[in-house]
Amino acid sequence: MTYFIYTFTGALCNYFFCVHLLPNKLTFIKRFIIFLYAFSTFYFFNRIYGQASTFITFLGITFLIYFFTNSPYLSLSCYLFGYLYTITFNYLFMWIAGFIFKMDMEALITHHLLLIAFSCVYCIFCGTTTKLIGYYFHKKLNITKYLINDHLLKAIFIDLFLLVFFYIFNFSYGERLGYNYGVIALNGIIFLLLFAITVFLMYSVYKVTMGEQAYKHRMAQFENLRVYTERLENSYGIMRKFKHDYMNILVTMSGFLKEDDIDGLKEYYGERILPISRAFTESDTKLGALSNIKNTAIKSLLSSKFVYMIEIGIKTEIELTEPINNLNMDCLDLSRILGIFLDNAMEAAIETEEKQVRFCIFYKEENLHLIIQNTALPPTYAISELCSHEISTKGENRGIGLFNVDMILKSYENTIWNTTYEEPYFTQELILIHNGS
Amino acid sequence: MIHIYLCEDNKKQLNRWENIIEKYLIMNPTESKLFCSASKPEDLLSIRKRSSTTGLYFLDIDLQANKNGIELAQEIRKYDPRGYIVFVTTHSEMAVLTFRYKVEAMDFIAKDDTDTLPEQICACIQNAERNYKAQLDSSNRLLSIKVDKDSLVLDQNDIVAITTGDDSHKLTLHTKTGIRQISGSLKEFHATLNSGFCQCNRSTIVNLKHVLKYSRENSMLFMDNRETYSVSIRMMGKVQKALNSFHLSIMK
Repeated sequence: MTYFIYTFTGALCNYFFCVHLLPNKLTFIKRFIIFLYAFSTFYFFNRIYGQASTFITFLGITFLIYFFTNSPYLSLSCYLFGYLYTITFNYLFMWIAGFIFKMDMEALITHHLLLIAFSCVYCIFCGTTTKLIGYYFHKKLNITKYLINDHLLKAIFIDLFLLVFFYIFNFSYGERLGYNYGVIALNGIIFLLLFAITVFLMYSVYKVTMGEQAYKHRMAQFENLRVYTERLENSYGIMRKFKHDYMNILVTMSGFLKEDDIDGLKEYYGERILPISRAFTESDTKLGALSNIKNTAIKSLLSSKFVYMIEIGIKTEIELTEPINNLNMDCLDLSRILGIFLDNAMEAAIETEEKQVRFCIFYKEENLHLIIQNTALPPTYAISELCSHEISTKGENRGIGLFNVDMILKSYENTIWNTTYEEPYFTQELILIHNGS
Repeated sequence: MIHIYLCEDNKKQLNRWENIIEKYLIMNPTESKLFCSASKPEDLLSIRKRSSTTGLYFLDIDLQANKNGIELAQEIRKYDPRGYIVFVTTHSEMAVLTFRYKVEAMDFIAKDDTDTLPEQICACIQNAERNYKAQLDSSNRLLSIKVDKDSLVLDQNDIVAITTGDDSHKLTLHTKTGIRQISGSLKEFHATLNSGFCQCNRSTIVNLKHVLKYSRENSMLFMDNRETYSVSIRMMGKVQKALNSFHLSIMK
C-alpha cells in the first residue's frame, strides 16, 4: 500500500511538471497516456531496479512528448526544465525534512507514515507551483511567441537533457552507494547551484532573444516606412510636374478664350485636361491618406500591405477622413488582426474579376470602426463557421487566421465583430468601443 | 411624405439641383416636396429641427463652412435617424465605406459626371420613396436593437438565428448575409421577437421561417444559410410542435 501511494504520487509529480509546463494544452487522452505510462513504469520497475527505473520513465516521456506536440524542442525543453525544478526541490525538501526529523534518507524512506506524508505534501507543492510557473512562462513571458529560433531551442534542449541525465545518474548511483546526510547535503548544494545557473542562463537567452525580436520588428517597421516615404515622394513628384504644367495649360486656355474658339477649347479640355485629373485619382496619391494614422506600427503595417496590393493589381481604396489616435486596443493585437483581415481580403480579391479592396477607419462617438471590404467569390460555408478552427477557404490546415482573430478578441470585452457577404462584397467590420479610460 | 433638403455652398450648383428636382416633382406627382435648399449647414439644421417628417438630404462634402458634409450628416442623424442621406461629391472626396457605415448614407453621386447628374438625383428620390413605403408596410416586423449608443433596425424576417457564445453577455445575430455581434441576453431578446421564433437549445433561438429541414435522427435543424443547429432533447417536442403549427399557419 505504501509502495502504491509512493509510486502514485511520484507518477503524479511527473505528470504535473510534464503537462503544466507545456506551451500547448494536450488532449485528455494524451495526458492520460502520459500519466499511465509514468505510473506503470514507476510501479513495475521501481521495485526491481530502484531509482534507476527513472531512466525508463524519463526517456519514455521524452519520446511521448516528442510525438504528441507540434513544436517538439520547445515542449521538451519545458518538460526538462520542469524535471530539473522538481528534482532540485525534492532534494531541498528532503534535506529540510532530514534536518527537522534528524534522520538520514535511508531512515526516511523506510519510515512508512513519514514517506506517505512527504510524498503527498510534495505532490501538492509540485502541482501548484508548476501550474504557476507554466502560467508565468506562457502568459506573462510569452515564450512560445519569442523563442522560435530552432537552432537555439535545440541547444537548450541538449543542455537540459544532459543535465537531467546526470541528475538521474547521480541519484540512482547514489542509492546504490547508500545515502547519508552529508551526501544528500552535498548533492543538494551542487544541484541547487546547477539549477540556479541554468535558470540564469535561460533568462539571459530569453532576454537576448527578446531584444533581437524587438530589433527585427523595428527594422521591418523602418523598412515599411521607407517604402511608404518613397511612394509619397513619387506622388509628390507627380504633383510637382503638374504644377509645372498647369501654368502652360492656363496660358493655352486663355489663348483659346481670347480667340473665342470654344470648339478648340472643348477639344483641348477633353484631350489634355481630363486625362490629367484621371491620372491623379488613380496614382499613388491614395497612400497619402495613411498620414492620418498616428500610430507608427499600424501605419507601417497598412502601408506595406497596400503597397503590395497596388503592385499586384488590386484596386484599393483607402478612406481615412480623420486623424486616428486612440486605438482602444493594444496596438500589437490590432496589427495582428488587421494583418490577418488584409491578407484574407487580398487573397479573396485576387480570385475575382473586379479585384477590389476597400478600407476605412473612422470614429463614431469615440468608438473606433474599422471596415475592410473586398470582392470575393460566394462562400461555400456558412459565414458563422468561418472562424472555427478547421474551416478555411484556402484548403486544409490553413483556417488559422480568423480563428486567431477570435482568440485575440476573446480577451477584449469592448469589441463587436460583424462579418457579412453581400454579392460581390465580403465585409469585415470591427468596432472597438471606447471604454472611458 | 418625404421632405427634400439640399445643402451646397456653390450657388450655381445649388440652383442646378433645385431645377432638376423641381422638374422631377412636376413630372412625377408624389407626396414628396422640396422643403429646404441651403448654402450653409446651420440653415439646414435649424429648419430640420422644427420638422418631424422623414427627410431626403442631398449634401455636398466640402461646404466651405465650419462643418463638412459628413459632420453635417451626423448632426442630421440626431434629429432624423431614419432619413435618407445622399452625398454629392467629387471623385477625390469620395469615401464610399465611410459614408455608408458612419452615417448610413443611402447613396452618393459623383458631381464630376455632370451629364448623368439629373438621372442620378431622380433615381435617389425614387429609391427613397420606395424604401419609405416599404418601411411603412413592414413597421410591425421591425426590430430595434441597441448597439452601444446607436440602435440598429432590422427586419425580423431577415434573422435566421440568435446564438450566445462563450461570452455570456454577447449575442450573435445570424442573418442570411452574415453575422453580427450585439449585447444582451437570450432570454431578454426572445421576449421582443414574434411567434415565428423558437428556442432549440440552451444557447440558440432559430427563426422557423428559415428552417429548411428538421432531421429527427440526429436532432439537427438545417437552415437556409448553410448553418445547422442541434436540438436539445428537452426542446425536441417543442420544436416539432412549433414547426408543425408554423407550417399549418403558412398553408392556411
